[in-house]
Amino acid sequence: MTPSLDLDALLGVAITAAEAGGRVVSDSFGAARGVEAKGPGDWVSEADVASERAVRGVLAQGAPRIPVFGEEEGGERGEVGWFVDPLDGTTNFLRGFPVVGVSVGLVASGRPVVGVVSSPLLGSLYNAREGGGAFRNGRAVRVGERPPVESICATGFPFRATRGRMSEYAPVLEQVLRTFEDLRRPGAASLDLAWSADGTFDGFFELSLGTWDVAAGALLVREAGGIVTDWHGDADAWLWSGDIVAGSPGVHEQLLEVIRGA
Amino acid sequence: MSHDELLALFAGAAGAQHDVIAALTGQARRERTMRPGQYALDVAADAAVRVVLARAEVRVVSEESGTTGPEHAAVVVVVDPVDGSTNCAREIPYWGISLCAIDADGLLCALVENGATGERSTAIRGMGAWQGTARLTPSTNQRLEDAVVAVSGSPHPVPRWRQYRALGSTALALCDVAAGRLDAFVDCVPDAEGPWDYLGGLLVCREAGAHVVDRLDRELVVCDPTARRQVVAAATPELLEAVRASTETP
Repeated sequence: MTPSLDLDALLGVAITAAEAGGRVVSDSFGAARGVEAKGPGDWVSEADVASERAVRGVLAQGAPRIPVFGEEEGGERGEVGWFVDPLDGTTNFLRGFPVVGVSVGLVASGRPVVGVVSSPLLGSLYNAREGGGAFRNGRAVRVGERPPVESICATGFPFRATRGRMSEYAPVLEQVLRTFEDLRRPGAASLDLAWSADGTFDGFFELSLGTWDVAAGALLVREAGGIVTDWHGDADAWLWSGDIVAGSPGVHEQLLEVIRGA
Repeated sequence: MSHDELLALFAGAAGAQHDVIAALTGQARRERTMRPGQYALDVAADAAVRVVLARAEVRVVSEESGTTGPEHAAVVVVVDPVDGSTNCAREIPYWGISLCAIDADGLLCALVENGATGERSTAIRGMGAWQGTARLTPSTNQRLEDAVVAVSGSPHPVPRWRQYRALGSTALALCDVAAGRLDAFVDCVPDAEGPWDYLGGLLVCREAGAHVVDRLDRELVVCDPTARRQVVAAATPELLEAVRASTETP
């Protein structure tokens, strides 16, 4: 626990912040598609930045002493700090595909303690605070209980990583398809984690994500009864390396076994 | 029957599917049958859809119930009552219904609808592909390095595309290629697709100007419920060949 922080109050701030970012994303959705062909990135950068500013505005008002690190504007990384992805799934957003998230996570002493993931275009808001359980639109969620052969894992394409990491990733991808029922790659890591928390998916693995991508969603998984580690089973290193394995206890263990054997 | 009459019939079938699925919640939504890969929701949707299609003089080829209806009907309707059943069972918002009418001249008209979002794609031979009032056009991407490619299964080695998606519905992925949301779709599993999986999306793609082939260049327009194909689709001919070449099994 983190006794010096009022996590319930900070969770309320994070929810308000994610909702504010989500409204910006919703209002911008659709109009971006035509712009992409004229000037790649420009308009979407505006949406990213506008969402981050909306999130930052709420965080600054509700928790003025806690530094904020955002994907777009960067910032300070303190012992206690917010990590914000104001528009997770930018490619989807650009192309009119509604799988996008707004992720607001609070990290203290090297672990996430508050996490909110909004899915503004699909009408869901997930939240958790350390020790308090995980919720979707106000209802408690738990990770799935399916055996691996009936499980679906989500993953991402490690496009931020150097091409060299493909040699780590590709054999795992292949073996996962043989071990589990199926695989999904919707394109927004924060939602992959949120959907792993509520049992829609059973697990998630990816390399080289940003802390802003995973802090909130990983807490959702943990508070929903799941396990989160890096690819070697380390319970803390994933937050900074972005090499993450998450899921229900059985699926998480099976994923680690696949990684070890790949 | 005219294409307008057929599309009205298809809309009725989509509505019937929607009502049946909406009534299945919780465990009833996730229940499997004894047939591998089949859910109870597939069977329920199939029954509801066939009731609607039986109002017309059409032969029906369904993933769930095979071939039914008048043997010498001028139109065959190939239907997947729920494409993306696993997504539907888990409430992943990427599943739908695919209906395609075939007459003596080939693909006549099609309707593919995302059951989670309600987004409906339609196509009529020679008249384009549409989502509501928006005419569908694919992207202009020609290079693998710039492409977002949806896959079924896993290619080996992983090609040098910009990003990939694995979404779980061939019919919807083909419509997303037609609409420019995806640049390509490739099935990496040999002969896994029945005609109900791809025919609706095939006409949507063709009418939008996207390109679709079988990996082995077999005819895609078939009504045989035992036929299986391996679909590759892309926004441009250049990208189609790049995707096909990059996902060849060594």
